[in-house]
Amino acid sequence: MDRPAEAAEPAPRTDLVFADEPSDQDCLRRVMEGEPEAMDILVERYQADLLRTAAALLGEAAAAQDAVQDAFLRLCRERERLVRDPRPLGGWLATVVRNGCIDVLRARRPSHPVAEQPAPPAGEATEGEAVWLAVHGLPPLERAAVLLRYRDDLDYRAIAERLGKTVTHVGVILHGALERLRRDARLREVVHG
Amino acid sequence: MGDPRIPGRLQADLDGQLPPAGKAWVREHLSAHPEAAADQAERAALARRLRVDLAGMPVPALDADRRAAIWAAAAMPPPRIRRFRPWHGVLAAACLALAVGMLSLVRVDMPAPQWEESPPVRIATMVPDSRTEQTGRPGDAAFVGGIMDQRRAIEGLASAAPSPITTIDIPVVNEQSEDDSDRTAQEGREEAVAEADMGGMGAFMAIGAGGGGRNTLPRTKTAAKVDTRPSGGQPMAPPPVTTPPTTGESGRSRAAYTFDGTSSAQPAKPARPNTPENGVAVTGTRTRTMTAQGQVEKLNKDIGFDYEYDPRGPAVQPPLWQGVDIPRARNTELTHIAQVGRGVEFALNVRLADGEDDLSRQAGGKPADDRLDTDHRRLSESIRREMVPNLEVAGPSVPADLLPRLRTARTAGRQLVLQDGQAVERAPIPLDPADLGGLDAAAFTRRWGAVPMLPVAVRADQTFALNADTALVDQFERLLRAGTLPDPDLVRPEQFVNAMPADHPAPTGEPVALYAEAAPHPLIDDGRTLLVAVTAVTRAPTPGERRPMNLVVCLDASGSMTGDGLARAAAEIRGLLAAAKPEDRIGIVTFADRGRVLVAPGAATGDRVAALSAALARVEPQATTDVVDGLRLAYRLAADGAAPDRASLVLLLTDGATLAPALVDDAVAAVGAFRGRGIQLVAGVVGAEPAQPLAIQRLAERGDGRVVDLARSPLGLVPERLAALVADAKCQVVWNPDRVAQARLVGYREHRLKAEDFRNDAVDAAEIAADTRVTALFEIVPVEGGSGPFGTARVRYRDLREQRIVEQALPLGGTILARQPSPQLRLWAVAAATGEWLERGWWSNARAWDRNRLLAALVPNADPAPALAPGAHRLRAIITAAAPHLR
Repeated sequence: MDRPAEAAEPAPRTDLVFADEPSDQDCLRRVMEGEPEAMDILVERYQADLLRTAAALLGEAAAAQDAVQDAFLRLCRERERLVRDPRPLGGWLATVVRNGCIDVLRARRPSHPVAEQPAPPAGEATEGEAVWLAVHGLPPLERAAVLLRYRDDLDYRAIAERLGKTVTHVGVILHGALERLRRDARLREVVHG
Repeated sequence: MGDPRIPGRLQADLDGQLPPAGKAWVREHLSAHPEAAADQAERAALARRLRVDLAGMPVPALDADRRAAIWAAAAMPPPRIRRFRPWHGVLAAACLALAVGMLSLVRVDMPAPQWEESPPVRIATMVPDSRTEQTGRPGDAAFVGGIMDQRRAIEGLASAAPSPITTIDIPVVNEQSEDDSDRTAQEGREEAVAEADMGGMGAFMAIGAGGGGRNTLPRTKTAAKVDTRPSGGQPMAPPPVTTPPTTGESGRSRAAYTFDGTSSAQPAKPARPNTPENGVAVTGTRTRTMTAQGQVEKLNKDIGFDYEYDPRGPAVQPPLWQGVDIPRARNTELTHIAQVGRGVEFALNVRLADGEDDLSRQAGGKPADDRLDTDHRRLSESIRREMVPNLEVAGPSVPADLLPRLRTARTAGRQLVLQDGQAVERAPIPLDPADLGGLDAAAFTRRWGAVPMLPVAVRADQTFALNADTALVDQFERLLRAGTLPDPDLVRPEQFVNAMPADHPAPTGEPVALYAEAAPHPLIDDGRTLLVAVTAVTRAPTPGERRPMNLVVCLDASGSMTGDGLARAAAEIRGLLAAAKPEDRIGIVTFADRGRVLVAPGAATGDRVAALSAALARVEPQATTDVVDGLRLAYRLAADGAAPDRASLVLLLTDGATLAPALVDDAVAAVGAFRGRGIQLVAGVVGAEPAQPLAIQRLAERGDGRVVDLARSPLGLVPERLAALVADAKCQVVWNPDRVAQARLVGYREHRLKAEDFRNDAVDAAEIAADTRVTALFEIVPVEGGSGPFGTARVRYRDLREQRIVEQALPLGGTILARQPSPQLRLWAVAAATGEWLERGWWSNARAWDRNRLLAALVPNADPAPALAPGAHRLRAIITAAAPHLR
C-alpha cells in the first residue's frame, strides 16, 4: 500500500494585517515613541486567539488570562528587541503563551486536583453539558486540540502552530482524544444515540 | 493497525484534512478493514456532535484590570538591561563548566566523569600468575608504573610530541590462553592503585596489565583513549619478526615494550634469557619493539588500556636520565624515570618473594579471584586500602615515601633515585645545557617545551618579536597572593624581566634607542657563562605629539563585572575621557547578552564627554555575555572612524571571565577579521580575580596590541601611551662565531621568528607603546681565547606616526663586558631565573634553580648589604610566596 503524502491544504493566514491598519512593527514603534495606546491595537488583534489557546490548554479562564497578560507584558519589555529584530508577532506571542501554559501545567501536575473541573450543573446534565464536561476532563493537550478543532474550527496546520506540534501529530492527538471520549461513560449515549 | 501513522491519518480524513491521495488511501484501508470502518463511523458521529455542542462555548477576553496593566507596562520605558540575578551566575558557571568539560572531551576523547573522578595519579601494578607453570618463576616480578600530571601528558599526546610512555614492562598472555574466560582469572590480574595524595594538577593514565584480566575487569571502566599519533604521522614500520607472541604457545611470558620504532640511538633491546640477573631495565624478560598497529591493538588488549601511541617515540634517552641512578636493589628496580613535560613517568619492577602469591597475601589473604569479580573502581579502592599499606610492610617492594617524593621531583626538578629500596631525593644537578641528547633544536623543543642553547656554528642569530607585555606577571602575582600557585603556562620569563624597573634614558630622536651590557652571569658560577642584555627603549610621549585617537571602548557588562569590576572600568574610561582632546573620536560599546552601542563614536567635545560619562552610570551588568559580538561591534565602529592621521584603537575592558575557553577562538577570529585595518586592541584587565589571562594575552597579540593589568596599575590608561608608538617591532642578535661559542635567548618562546623574517615586513611582530623598556637576556658561552665583538643587535619596526620602516643596529663590542654585573643586570638575571623556576620546565632543571639560589642572587654579597631595589622587593615576594608550593 503506498503511503500518501500527509499534507493538508494551506491554512489561511491569521496574522495578516490589512493595509489600512498599522502593522505590528508600526505599533511597537509607536509604543516605543511614547504612545502606549498602540499596544491596545496589538492586544485587540491577538488576544482572542491567544486566550482561546490558553484556555483550551489550561481549562481555566483566569489562568488563561494570566498567561496572555504575561505574554503581553513580556512584549512590552522586549519591544525594543522585537523592533530591531522583527519577527511575526503572532507566532512569537503564541509561543510565549504556550510556554507559559506549559509551565503552569508542569507546576500544577503533581497536586492539581481534578475537582477543579467545573462542577456539573445541578440536576440532570443535558447532552451538551455532558459533552462539555467530558471534553474538559481530557488531558490538556487533547482538550486543547479538540477545542481548537471543533469549537474554533481551526485546521490542522493552525492547531499545530498553536500547540507547537507537527500537523501529523495533531491528527494523532485528536484521534486519541476521540477514542478517549468514545470510552467516556457520559458520552456513550451521545455517541451511540 | 500496526503503522503508528494510521490513527492520525484516519482522524485527518475524518476532519477533512487529508489531500485527495490520502483520502483514497484511507478509503482503501477502511474497505480492507471493516472493523476499522465501524470505528471510524463512530468517531465521525462523535466529531459531528462535538462540533455542535462545543460551538457555543464562550470565548474569554482579557478583563479590564489586565488590559490596564498591559497599558501601564507599554507606557513605561523598557528596561535597557536586564537585572542580574544570582541564578544567572550559577547558570553561567554551569554552562562554563559544561563547556570546559566538552572541551576536554573533544581534546582527549575521554569520558568526562571518569576524568573528573580520576585520582591525580594512578599506579598500575600487576604480577604474573604464580600458578602458571610456563613462567617457571612464580612471583617473578611485578610492574608498578604510572604517569603524573595528566595535563602535561595529555598535551604532549595531543601534539606531535612523542608518547610519554616509553617503556611498559608487563607480563603478557598469549591469545590462545585468553579463550577460556574461566582461566583468565587465574592467568593475570590487573590492579590500579589510586593514590590520591599526589596533588592538584597531577593525574594520570591507567596502565592496566594482565591479558586475562580484561575479561573479568571490563576495561571500559577505566580505559582512557588517547590518540597520540601526530596528524600526518609517518606510517608505522612493520613489526620485527621476533615480536608477536607465538600462537599456540600457552601460558605467560613477560615482555617489555619499548616504544621506539625507529630509533638508532636506542636500539630495541635484544631478547634476554629469563633470568633475574639481567640488567637494570628489565629483569628476565623478552623485549619487544612495538611498531605496528596490530601490536598496539594486542597491547591494548593485553593491558586493558585503550590508547594509541606515536610509534616513533623519543629517539634517545632524555638528558635528564643523566645522573639518575637506576640501582639494582634486591627487590625493587626503578626501570625507568623521566621527566615528561612537567610530569614524571616512572616504572618500577617489583620482584616479589618466590613461591608466594604476594598480592593475595598482601590483600589480607583474600582469594585473588574474588577480587577480580569486583569492578575496577572497587578494586582500585581495595588496592589502595589494602595493598599499599601492605606493600609498605613488605618493605622491599614499593617505598612508602615514593609517591610524595616523585611529586617533589616533578615540581622542583629534583632527581629521584632508589637506593636499597628507598627513594632518595638528590639535589638538582645542573646539566650541561649544550647537551641536547642527540636531538636537534626543533625536536628538543617539541620534547621538552624549551628552546635549547645552541652552538653559534649551528645557528648564529636569535630573532624574535620585541614583546613588551608584563600583564601576565601582574596576574600571576595576584593569583599567588590569593594563595594559589598559578599554572606554569602563565609564566613567561621575559615578562618577569620586563616587569623589573629600568632607568635607561628615553631617546629624543628616533622612536627607539638600543642599549646593551654584559657581565659574568650572576647566577651561574661556572667561570664562563656570560649574561648579555639588549634593551630597547621607546621615546617618552609628549602631549603635542600625540596623534588624535579613534577610540572605541568595548566594555564588559557581564555578570562577573558586577560591583567593583564595572566601577573600576568606568573610572578608567572617565580618566581617559578627562584627558581626551576635541579632535579625538570616542565611542563606547558594552557587551552582555550582545553588543550594544552605549554611545556612538563622535568627537570628544565637552558635551559628548559629559554624555559618555553619564551613560556609563547607566550600565548594569547582565548574566549572559557575548564578548565576540561586543568585539565585532567595537571593531566595526572603529573601522568606520579609521583615518590615516588617527590612531585607531579598541579598548577592551574586561575581567576576563567572559572569555570562556569555548569563546576564545571566536573572539580571536573576530579580532583577526579586522587585521590590516590599522586597529590596535588594548586589553585592560579589571577585577580582583584575574581570569583567563592567557586568552586575553592571545587576543591582544592577535589584535596587534597589548594587555594592561589595571588592577595593578589603576588609572594606567593615558591617551599618550594608549596607542602603540611603533608596530611590528623585531629584534635580531647575530653572534660572532669567533667570539661566541654558544648562545641562548632567555624566554620569548612564543615570540621567536625565523632569521629571514627579520626583514620581512609582512611578518607580524610586537607593538610597543611610548616610554617602554623591553629587554632581552642572552646567556652566552664565549669561545676560549676568542676576541672581537660579540655580535650585532638590530631592531626593526614601523614608526606609526610617520608610517615608515626603521632599522637600527647596535654593535655588541667587547667593551660592553663588565667585570661585575650591574645591579640592573643582576635584577634582570634573577627575574629571568625566577620565571624559569616558576615555569617548571627544562631550564629549571638544567639550571637547578631553587628558592635559595634565587634569593641569594637577589642580594649582592656585600657588607653592609645594599638596600633592595623596588623590583627586587617584588621578586623576593614572588619567590617566597611561590616557594612553599614548590617544595
